[in-house]
Amino acid sequence: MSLSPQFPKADDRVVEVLSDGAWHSVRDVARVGKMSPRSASMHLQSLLTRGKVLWKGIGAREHRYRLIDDSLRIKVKERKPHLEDRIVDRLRQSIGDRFYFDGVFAKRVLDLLDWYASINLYEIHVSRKLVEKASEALNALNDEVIVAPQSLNWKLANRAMQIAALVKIIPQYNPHEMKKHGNMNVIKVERLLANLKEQSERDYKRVLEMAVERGLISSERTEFARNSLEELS
Amino acid sequence: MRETLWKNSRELERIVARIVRDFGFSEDQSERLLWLLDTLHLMTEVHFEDLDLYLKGGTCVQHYFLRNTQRFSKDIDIGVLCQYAPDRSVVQNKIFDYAKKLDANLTDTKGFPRGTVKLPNVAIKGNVVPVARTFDPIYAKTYTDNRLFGITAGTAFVSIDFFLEETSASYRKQRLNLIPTQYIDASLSFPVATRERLLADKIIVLSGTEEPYFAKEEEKDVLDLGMLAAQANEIDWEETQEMLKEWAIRKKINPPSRVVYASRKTVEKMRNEMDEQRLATTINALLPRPKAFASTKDWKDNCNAVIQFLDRFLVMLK
Repeated sequence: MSLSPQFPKADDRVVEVLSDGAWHSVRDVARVGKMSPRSASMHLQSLLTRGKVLWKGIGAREHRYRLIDDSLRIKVKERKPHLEDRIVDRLRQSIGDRFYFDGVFAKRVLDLLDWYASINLYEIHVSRKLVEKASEALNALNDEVIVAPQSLNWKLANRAMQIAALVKIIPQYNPHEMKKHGNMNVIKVERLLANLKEQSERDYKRVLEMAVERGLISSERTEFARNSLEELS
Repeated sequence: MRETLWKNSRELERIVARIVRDFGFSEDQSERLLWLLDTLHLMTEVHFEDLDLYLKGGTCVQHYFLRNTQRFSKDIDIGVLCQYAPDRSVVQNKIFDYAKKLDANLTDTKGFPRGTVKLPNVAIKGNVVPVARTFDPIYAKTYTDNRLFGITAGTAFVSIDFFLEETSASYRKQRLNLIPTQYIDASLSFPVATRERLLADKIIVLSGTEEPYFAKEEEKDVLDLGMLAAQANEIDWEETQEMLKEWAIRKKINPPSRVVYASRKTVEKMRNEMDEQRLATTINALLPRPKAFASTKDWKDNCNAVIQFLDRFLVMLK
């Protein structure tokens, strides 16, 4: 694992702007730190994935950051049991039931992973209006997770997952796309499959096979799913 | 009547905590690893005259490696040899009888739940007979019902897949070397597939030409093949070659090198298709943190090592 032992100069300027411990918008940081908003955003996300700052969203577009650790040392966050339960509790306390899991954790809940180890990534849909509350609520778990915007690039996401579980907040919420499994709010399997199909035919095919096998696709849709599989093969 | 490898829930919790601390796995997977080992233990205690069984697949690959390099594997794959080699349905029924015998041996004696062994609810097609050993989990959560075995949400299970009609079976009884074995007092021996057999199987899986795998193209199989490539010096390549040849003849694939080419092509595809998002969502999201790939370059290097390994093998096959 190669983790940089010191802040680059631009990061230093960003840390200086944030050193008052208050929340700052990307625009603020760019202005005071004398850099472009794009560059400020990049440095802030880099600090976020090293566990140095917290992020919270305001609606879908505004991002604010707060410094929590200005040391150079990168600390691996502790893993505790049943993290997902604590994530759900926090979300329910702050935004009620208006959220659902997508991505790898949704697959885990739906029993659509044929191998897995730790789950290091949680992608959670919430409505734009509730992004702030949701991100604040989850930041209370910052000794275990890194809460990040959907826009966090995947390269940085991979880096973040080396030190903590990563929680990505997706500011898109459609209650019709949600289903409950056990105590978990999860994206409907049909929607999950549609999203997968856009990303990778291979993953789509694999998960579709499993969904049919597990009986997760309703009987009318099973025929459709089988036809899709045949077309693919 | 039998006892689990641990005395009670408290001892199980203690062992789980040690695995979490020592290996970076989550509590969920550490508990699954323990129940997987207990299931193998159960199988060593229940004999069935007509069948020879041996461990194969991903869990078996881990057995050959240092514990701190082993990946998580949640299923048990078992190769089945039937002494009288009768037809598939007869062997299937024998597996069901064996599973019932396993279940009978799980009868609770002191109030500590040891689970059950479940058979599938539907008729089985193909050459794999799935069986499930359920357990009452402390950490290993399940959220959905499993219709195949009629297991309700909340009950966890270890899958045991019995593979019938095995070609070139090659195995020897060994003391198991899996992560949880270091925390258990009992020494556990089980017939395990040889490295040569495992290598041939992984090449076949990644070639994607045969049931029950088809083109699964799973990252975990590339990880396993990468592990085996790291032990190339301990593999009898000629033996693996013979196994592949026998399999290819049976499947009417000529020349047998086509299997290795197909496997190579799959790994190449998985190397070339990998981007940061796929790395995050299909690999790093699932690996313990110390084993996560820092970048796609690391993943590609891993795939290149596997491709080189397959190339060496191809040269020999020609």
